[in-house]
Amino acid sequence: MTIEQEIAQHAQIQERMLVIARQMIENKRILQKEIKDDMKNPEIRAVIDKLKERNKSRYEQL
Amino acid sequence: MSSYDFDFIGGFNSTYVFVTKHSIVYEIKFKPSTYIFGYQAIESEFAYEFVIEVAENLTGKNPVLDTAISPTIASIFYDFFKLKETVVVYICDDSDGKAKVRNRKFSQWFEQYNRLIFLKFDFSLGTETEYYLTTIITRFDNPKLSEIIKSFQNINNDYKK
Repeated sequence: MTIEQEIAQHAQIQERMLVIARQMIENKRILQKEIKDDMKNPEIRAVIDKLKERNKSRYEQL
Repeated sequence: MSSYDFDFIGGFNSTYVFVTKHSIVYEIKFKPSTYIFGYQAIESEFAYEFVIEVAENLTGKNPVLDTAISPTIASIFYDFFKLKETVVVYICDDSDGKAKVRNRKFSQWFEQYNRLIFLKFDFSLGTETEYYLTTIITRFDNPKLSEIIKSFQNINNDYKK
C-alpha cells in the first residue's frame, strides 16, 4: 500500500468513527432528555419516594 | 464503605435509580447499541451505551463530594454485567467544554471499586479538530475481549497518527 493510499484509508476510518461518535453524542442527549422526562413519570416518582424514605430512616438513625 | 440502595426500573434502556442522603436523584441507563462494533458483529448483541445523570437536585447547589456514590455505581455495574459478553461504551459530551472533567469524575467513581472485575479502556475518537473522550468497559472474562480491543485499537492508532 502506498503512503497516499494509507492516508486515504486513515481518513476514511477517522470519518467513520466521527459519524459513530456523533451518533453516540446524539443518543446520549436523547437519554438525558428521557431522564428528565422520567422525573414526571408517576411510577418512577413512586420508586424515588420509596428510596428517599429508606434514606430518611437510615440516615436519621445515625 | 456503605452504598446507597438502588432500584432497577428496567425498560428498553435498562434504567437504574438511586438517591443520595442529600436527596439528589441519579439515573443510570444502558441503551442497546447495535452500530458501534458494526451491525454484523457478534459483540454488537451485547453492546450498550451508558449514561449517568443527576436527574433531580432540589438543593440549589452543585452536588458535593459523596463517598457512597462510587460503591453504588459499582453495585449497579455488578448487577448489569450478569452476562460476561456485555460491553458498555461511555462518551463524554464536550458541548460545554467540560468533557475532561466528566471523564475524570466518572473514572474516579468507576476505578475505586470496579477495577478487580472490569477492564476499562479510554480512547479519543476523531480528528485533531473534533474528538470525543470515550471509555469502553467490559468484564475480564469476556470471551470476545480480543475482538473488542482490536476494533478500538485500530481507531485509536489511527487517531494518533
